[in-house]
Parts: sequence; structure tokens; C-alpha cells
Amino acid sequence: MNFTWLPWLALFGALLPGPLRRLRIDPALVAGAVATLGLGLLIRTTPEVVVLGQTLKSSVPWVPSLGLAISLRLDGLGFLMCGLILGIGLLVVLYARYYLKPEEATGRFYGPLLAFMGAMLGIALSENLLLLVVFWELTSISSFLLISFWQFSTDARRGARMALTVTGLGGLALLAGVIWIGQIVGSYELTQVIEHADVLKAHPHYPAVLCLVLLGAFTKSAQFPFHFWLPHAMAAPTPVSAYLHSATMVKAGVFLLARCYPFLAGTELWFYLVTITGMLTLLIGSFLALFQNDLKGLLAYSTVSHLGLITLLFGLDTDLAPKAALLHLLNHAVFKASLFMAAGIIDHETGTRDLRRLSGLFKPMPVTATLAIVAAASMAGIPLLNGFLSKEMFFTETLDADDIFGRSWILPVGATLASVLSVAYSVRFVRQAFFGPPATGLEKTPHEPPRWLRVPVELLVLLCIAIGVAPALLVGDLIHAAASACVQGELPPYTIALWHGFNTPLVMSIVALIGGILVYARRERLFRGVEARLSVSQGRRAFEGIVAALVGSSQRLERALRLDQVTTHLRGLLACAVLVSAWLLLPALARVSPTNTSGDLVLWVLCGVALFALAGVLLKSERPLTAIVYSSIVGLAVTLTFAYLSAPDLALTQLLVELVAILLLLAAVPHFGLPPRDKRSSPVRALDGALALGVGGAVTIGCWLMLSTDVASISRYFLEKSVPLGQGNNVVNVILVDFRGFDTFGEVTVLAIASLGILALFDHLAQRQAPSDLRPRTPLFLQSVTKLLLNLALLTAVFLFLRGHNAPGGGFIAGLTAAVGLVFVYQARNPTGAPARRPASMSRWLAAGVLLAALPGVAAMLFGRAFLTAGHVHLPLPLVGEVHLSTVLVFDLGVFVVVVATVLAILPTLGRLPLGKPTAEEER
Amino acid sequence: MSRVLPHPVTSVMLLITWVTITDPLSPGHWLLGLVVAWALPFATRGLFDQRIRVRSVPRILAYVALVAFDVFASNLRVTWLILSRGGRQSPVLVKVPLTLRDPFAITALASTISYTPGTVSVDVSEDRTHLLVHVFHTDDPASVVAGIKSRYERRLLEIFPC
Amino acid sequence: MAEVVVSVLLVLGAALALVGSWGVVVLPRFLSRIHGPSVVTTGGLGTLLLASLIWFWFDGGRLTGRELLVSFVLAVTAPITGHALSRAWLARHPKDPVDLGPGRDDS
Repeated sequence: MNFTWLPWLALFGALLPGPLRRLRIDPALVAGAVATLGLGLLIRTTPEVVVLGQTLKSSVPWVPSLGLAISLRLDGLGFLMCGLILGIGLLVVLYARYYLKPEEATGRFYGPLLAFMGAMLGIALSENLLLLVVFWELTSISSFLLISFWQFSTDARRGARMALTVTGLGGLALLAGVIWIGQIVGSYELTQVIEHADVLKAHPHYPAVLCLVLLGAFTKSAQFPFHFWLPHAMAAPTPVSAYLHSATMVKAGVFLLARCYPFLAGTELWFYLVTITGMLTLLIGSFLALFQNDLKGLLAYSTVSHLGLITLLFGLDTDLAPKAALLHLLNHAVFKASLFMAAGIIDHETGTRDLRRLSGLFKPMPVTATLAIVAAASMAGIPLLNGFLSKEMFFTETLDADDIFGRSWILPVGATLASVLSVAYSVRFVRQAFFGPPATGLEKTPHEPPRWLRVPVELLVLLCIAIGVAPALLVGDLIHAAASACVQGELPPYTIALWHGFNTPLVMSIVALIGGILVYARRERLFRGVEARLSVSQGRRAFEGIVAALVGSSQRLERALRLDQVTTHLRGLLACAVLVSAWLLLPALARVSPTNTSGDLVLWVLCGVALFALAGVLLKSERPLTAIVYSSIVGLAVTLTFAYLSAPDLALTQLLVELVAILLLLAAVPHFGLPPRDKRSSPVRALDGALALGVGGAVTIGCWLMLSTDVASISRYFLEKSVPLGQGNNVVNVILVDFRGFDTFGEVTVLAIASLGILALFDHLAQRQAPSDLRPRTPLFLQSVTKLLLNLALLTAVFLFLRGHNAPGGGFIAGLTAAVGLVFVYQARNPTGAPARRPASMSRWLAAGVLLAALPGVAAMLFGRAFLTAGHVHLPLPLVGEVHLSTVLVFDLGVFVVVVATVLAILPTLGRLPLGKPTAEEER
Repeated sequence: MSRVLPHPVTSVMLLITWVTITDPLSPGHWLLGLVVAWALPFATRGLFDQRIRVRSVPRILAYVALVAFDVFASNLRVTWLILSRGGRQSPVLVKVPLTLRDPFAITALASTISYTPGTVSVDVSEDRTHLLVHVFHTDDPASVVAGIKSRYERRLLEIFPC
Repeated sequence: MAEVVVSVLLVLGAALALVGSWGVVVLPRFLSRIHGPSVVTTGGLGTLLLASLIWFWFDGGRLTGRELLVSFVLAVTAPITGHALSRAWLARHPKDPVDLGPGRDDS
């Protein structure tokens, strides 16, 4: 195993927690094992990547025609990110193990958590930019699942939706940007793109590309004005916040800035866009953090501001700014993760996170309080702690940077102001939570948490101090390697150190410290009335306004176009069909030779019967049952036509499909009621008539063309090769299961997916109260006969199935036969009660069928053959003779199962659904 | 026995059916037929609790022959009635009191009545004591009831255990 | 010889089926109309099956039980239709049906 295993280890590990929980094994074990193993793999590469500064690469083609490859690279930058993802991931797993209650759906927690971990590792390691976007979207989806872990909470659902919408939109922008880069450069491989950085930056489309990529980065990293989703994502369980919203997910955005630094940065546009966004985010985030009463809300806005700080650093044009940014990326992850965990402990042990209710917690939980205070001090930038180091470097870089808008003071002053606010909210956090009189009216009596809940915090705080005291020793090489990889060039010599002498940055730090304490002390006088106006964040209001406007305009559009009516859609579809047919068929009309269009009396009669019955369907459309009878005559005429033309397979299929369709229609009729009266105006009627004529004409011309044009048919090939290649005499079946097996597999999958959709809809409908007993009792007659009939139907199904390869039959036909028998039993035995099997269990059968159909195909791949290659065995058995076994039989069995499950999922349930329209209450 | 072979009569019928529909009679088909005839009732045993029980196979064959003859005769009768009288029959609904108790035997009787043109069994009373039969054309309903009881029910009583 | 017999039987079966279907058209009452199709399934189809049996016996030289099987399945399933239809009629006419006078229009 090497580093390329990292993402897949976590992604495949994500499949385990659910099943393990069923086996009563703690899923935290898998998560912990994956993180530990990953850390081991990562650390093994330290000599090459961190010490020698090499870049490890590997590449496997995925979709070469699109330029998409699974190419991974591990350089210093990726190493830093992976270390954070795995290290903090491990601690978060340990923390979550004791934070979540054992009876909670922990499988649903650790699964997405591992998926998220894998996706983040993928982002950190992607060499191919398209692959990076794939992983990027995967983090959005898995974080959506994690934020909404407590599904019962409205806030959690809303926050999750908001995060998904904002980061998902950013992801789309990023995709567009990346594709554009690929178009300009000619490759999606990072190495190639970096090599062609000059071409890219000089390209006229560079500004658009930059904006799209930055949009992706800024939404993910919660930069102003997209910052609002982060505080709402705090409805997630605290371990999720500690992981996603301090150390990983939100860092993906700034990581992207670091990745793109070599080929997008260094221009005026980059400087202004990134620096100003970062500065605004820094100031707004730290200002808003000051007014948060929710512990996690305060930390969330603080995170926003720190992300702004990192972004700002990436925007600066000084040589050392990326190094400072990466150091702060690391430091922020460490102290913010520990602070989130501490906030979680306070929540866990007191029952609230409200700073107005918390007070004097130092006395009952001194250790936790000390840890939190140290971490908060690091956040405020107190010396001897890691936060101080990167803040010092930040101040240095703002002083060294170019003037912005021609003013040299803007950046340093802004930085100092933000630090003042940062100190102020850190002090507020510490002062209000831990000091003052003991809190009253809490749900729980505060006390120290269980030992293991605190251990991750202890380790992280220890790291805060260790890095703060001996930075060069601990992280010097790592940050150097990461920064070198980030800028893709030599860095000026610089040692991260605690003491750089008495200089301007130190003065700024001291100002920030004193200023922050003063601001906190005087906050009521300074910000009187501000707090009330900030109660609902502007961002959320804007977001919800936009969403509501979109929904509203969609609804208006729907009403205006009458999209709620089937006829509208039908008109659209048919009109398109007519147009496409006209385009394709009319030129071909010239080639028609009207010679060989002869007929046969039987076919004319059958045709006449079908036409007569169709007329009946149309004329009796206001009486559904009569119309169904007429439509069944059409089906029977078609069946007879097939039989007459020596197509027994088609005839059988048609007959059975007709049968099931009639059952379906009969079951559906009560739900639709009588069709409404025709209220179309005469122009609309004329239009519909023209449309009908057009469709009919197109079909007629199409048939005529097909019958009268000599086409080199492929049927001869199938007829000749069926026995030698497919070892079956029934060419239809051999085509279905062997020659075109992949098509059938696709169709079966689509069928299963459609059935799942229907099941989901029914599940929703069936929850409405069904009328208790409106149907007649089961007649004795049916009770007795069904047993025999079911067995006969099943016997026929077995017969048709087994002989399918050589004579009319096969999985589809056999499936319909068996299903009809089973439906009959359901209806006869149990017209009122619940179905014998809940339709949900049919979803398992559907899955089993698809898997069964895939099984021989996968088996063929294991033998080095193409997917779905058929295998044949001839077994000479005593007494029985030679038995021909084929893997296509398994495939056909899969088809059989899917067909049976589909019919059983729909028909018995449809017959049992409550009738009528849902009431307003049920609709909700 | 009953657990391994839950529905012996059904199994025998299925075996006969299998052998009939599979054309070339090889040992393999017999073997397969045995497996299928055993496995299907076994697989569906959860759905059905009642077993078909039969006392005498020769009597069944005799009964089938009798019904076949009756069907032939009444076909001619009903055909003639339709052709000669058009819509002017005197139909009647009669109640046939049942001596049979076994649900499958009642079903067999009702099926026989329905299968024979001229009579259709409409319903079995809730307590299974009466059969409601619609007669296509008769002047003497009582004799129809008596005919059904003596011709069919008596023989079914000998075939099925009660 | 066999061809003649088979032809006669085929025509006869078709004629019986026609009469049965004609019954559905001319008979005035719902319950009476059920008797028409039973002529089709027993007399009509039975005769046609007999023709098939004879044809394959003499022409193919084999006597298969498939026609018997078809009649067996028909015997099991055909009464269900009549039963279901008449029960449906009963459900829509819940008055005591035994007392129906012969002249009443119960369609």
C-alpha cells in the first residue's frame, strides 16, 4: 500500500459502519482504524515528501476521452492537508465515540464521516483537476448528510440545505472554471497546467476563469458574501463542526487557493479580488463573532474571520505570504478544533451553549476550562501559543505587501482592527463561560466530562503550546515543504520563530491585545443597539429570499404554461416527435419505391379489428372501464398479429404485458375517477387534431419507409451466429441475454430504478389512512382455486424460464407469468388487509435481481473476459444425459426477479392505496 | 411427511402437468418435474393452509367423464335455446342446500355447475350451507336443485372426505 | 379422412363459439348473458381442442396430453369469470335476488 490508497481506504471504509452496527459492532472502530491506518501510510512518506520535498505521483486512466484520470500527487501541500484530515479526523472519531449516545444512528454518522474523509483526502491528493472537482462535490454531499445528522431538527435540515446549495453552486462554478482551464491549457493534469501558467494568465478568458474558480473556493471557505451558511451549519453535531468547520471542509477552499497559486496568482486581478474578499471576511467575521450568544455561533463567525485571514494572505504578493497562510491554516485547525470540542463538552455537561446562561464554569470543570482558555488565547494570538506565530507573520506580510488602492496603511490597519475584535470575542468567550458567579437554571449540574471526551482536547491544546514554543522544530520542515509545493519554486530563507525582536508586528500585536480587552470592557457602550439589528443574519435573509423568489417564479411559470396538466406535457412531447420525424423522414421519402407494399387478408382483418377497438377507446374515453376493454382488444389483435407472423416470443410477451397493463389500469382507475369534461376551445381542439394527424402521419411514413426500403438487415447475422456463439436456438432470447446483454442489463436497471421511485411515492401515499373495509369479503371460490392457479402459474414460469434459451420463453416472460399468478393470489386472499409483504421489502428483491443479473458479468471479468461474456458448461450426468448450463441463465434469473418484484411492488399496493385526493393536512 | 411434502395432491397434479407440457420425455425431465412439483407447493406453503384431500382416484375419473357428457349435452341444449328463443327464456335463481362441508369440495361443485352451460353458481352463502345458482331456463326449479344434489353432490361426497 | 373430420370439427367449434357470442348480444338480462360465454369456453373450445387432438394424432403421429391440459386449465379458470361477474352483479343489486321475478329487467 502507498499513499494512493488514502482516499479509497476511507471511501470504501464508508460502506462498513452501517452493516457493522447491525452486527452490534461499534462503527467508531472502523472510522478509527481507517484514520490510524491512513496516518501510518502518510507518515511513511515523510522522508521523501517533507524532508526531501519530492512530489509522488501515480496515474490511472478513468475516462481518457474527457481527460479525466485518477491521477494523484502527494507533495508538501497535500501532506499538510492529509495530516490535518487524518490527525484531526482520528481525534474527532475518538471524541464522537463518547459524544454521541450509543443508541443514536451511529452507522449513519460514521459512514458519511468516512466518505467525507475520503473525499477530503481526494481533494488534497488530486493531480487531475476534474478529479478534484469530483471529490469536491463529494465533500458537499457528505457534509450535507453530516450536518443533517439530527434529521428531526428543522435547523439541522435547513442548515444542511443551505450549506449544500451554497457550496454546491460554488462547486458548479469551479467545474466550469476547471473545464475552461482544461480548454485553454489542453490538459487537466496539475503539472501540465502549472507548466502552462503563463499561457493561462495571458489568455483573454483568464478573468472569467479566475472568477469561476474563486467562486468555488470562496463559497466553500465561507468568504463574504457567502459566509452565511457556516453559522447555520452549526446545527450539526459538535464533532462534525469540529471536523468540517474548523479543520477540513472549509479549508478546502483555501487549499484550492494554494493549489491554484502557481497558475492563477500573481496578477493584479487576483491580488485585488482575493485580498479584498479576505479582508472583508476577516473584519465582518470577527465583528459578528462579538455578538454571538451561541458558543458555536461565536466560534463559527470566528472561523469565518480566520478563513478570511488565510484568504487575505494568499492574495498578497509577498514571497512569504503563502507560508504564513499555510502556517495559519495548520494553527487555526488545531486551536479551533479544540475550541469546538470544548464547546461541545460544555454543551454536553450543562445542556446549553447560550453564553447568556453560562457562567462561572471554571469552578465545576477546571481542567476543561483551562484547556479552553489556552485554546482561546491561541485564537486571540497570545505569545507562546501557535496562534501568535502566524498572526505575527500575518502582520509582517500586511506591512510588506503592495499598497492597495494606493494606500499603504489600509492592510495593516485592517489587520490590527480585526485582531482587536478577535481578542475581544476571545475574551468574551472565556470571561462569560468560565468566570463570574456560578450559573443558575441549567438543565444539568456542570461537571468534568468523561475522561475520553477530554483527551482529544488535551492533545490538541498540547499541540497549540508545543508549536507555539518550538515551531521550527515541530512544523518548520512541514510548512516549508508545503509552501514550496504551493508556490512551486524557491522560498526566501525564513525561520518560523517566537521572537523576531521588537518590531512593528509586535507593536500591532500589543495594540490588538490591549485594544481587544478595552473593546470587550466597553462593548455595551460601543455597540449599543447593534446587537438587536444583527439578530437574523442578512445573508440568510437574502438566501431565503432568493430561494423563495425562485420557487415562486417557477410556480408562476408552471401555472402560466399549465404544466400541472398531463396534456401540456403530452403536447410538447408529441410536437417534438413530429418535428424530429419531419426532419428525418421527409428527405427519405424520395427513396421510397412503392412496389413491395403488398398485404395479406388476415393482417388486414387484424388491423381492422385493432382500428375498430382503438376507435372504441377514443369514443368511450369518458367511461374508463369500457375504454380499458377496448384497449385490451387492441392488445389482443397485436398479439395475434405477432403469432400470425411467427413471432411466438413477441406474442407471449405482448399477451402478458397486455394482461399486466390491464390489471394496472383497473387498479389505477379508482384513483383517477371519471375524466373531466372536455373544456378545450375550438382552436386548441384544432391544434390537437393537427398534432394527432402529424403523429399518425409520421408513424405511417416511418412504417412505410421501413417496409419499402431495402436495408441490409443484421437479422441474418443473429440467425447464423445464435447457435455457434450463443449456444441457444431461440434467437430472440440469445439476443436479449447474450448478444445485446448489456442493453438488457441497462433496461433491467432502469426498470428497478423506476420501481424504486414508484415504491417511494407509494410509501408516502400509503401512510394516509386507508378506509377500513369497503371491499367485499374474499369469495370461498377464489380461496380454493388460487392455490392451484398459483402453482400452475409458477410451474409455467419455471417451464418458460428454463426453455427460454432454445424455445419461446425467457426471464422476462417467465417473470410476468409468475407475477400475474402472485398478484392474483394477493387480490384473492387479501382484498382489504395489508399486503403480505410490505412493498418496501420489494426494494430488496429489486436490488437482488439487479445484482444477480450483474453477477455473471462480473464473474466473466474475473476470468479476464469482457463484462457479461457468457460462459457455458456441458455436464454429462448419469441417467439425465448431458446438461447444458450457461451463465446467461443466472443473468436471466436476475431479469426474472426484477420483473416479478416490479409487478408486485406496484400492483398490489396500487389496489390498496386510499382513494381520493389528500386533505390539506396530509399534503403537508 | 406433511412438513416435507405439504401438498401431495397439488404436487401430483403439477408433476402430471409438467410431464405433459415438456415434450420429449427424457429421464431428465421427469427428474426436473419431480423437483418442481415438490418445490413449488413447498415454497408457497406459507400462503395456503388448507390441503386438498382425495379419497378415490377412479371415482374422480368417473366424475370427470360424467361432467364431460353433461357439458356436451347442455351445450346443445343451451345452443338450441339461444337459437330458437332468442331472449325469451325463463331464468331463475335457486338456492341449493349443501351437504358438502369441505371448502375445496364446495368449490368443485360450484365449478362443475358453472362449467356446465345453463347453470352458473353465483355465490356461496356466508355459512357455506347454501349455493346460489342461476339457471338459464327451466320451468321446474325444484327438479334442477334435486338434479344437482343427486347427480353431482352425491358423487363429490364420495370423492372428498367431509 | 382425418382432414375431413378435423375440418368438420373446426367449423362446428367455430359455430358453437358464434352462437355463444350471439347469446351475449341477444340475451336481455345480465345473469342470463353469462351463459353465452360458457358455451364458447366449453362447447366451442372443446370442439376445437378435439380437432387439434385428432390432427396431431394422425398427422404428427403423436398423442400428446396438451389438449387435455388446456381443458383442465379452462375447467379451473372459466367458472371464476362467471362467478366473479355474477358476484359483482349481486353486489350492485343487494335486494334478495332469489325472489326476482322472471320478467324483471335486471340488466
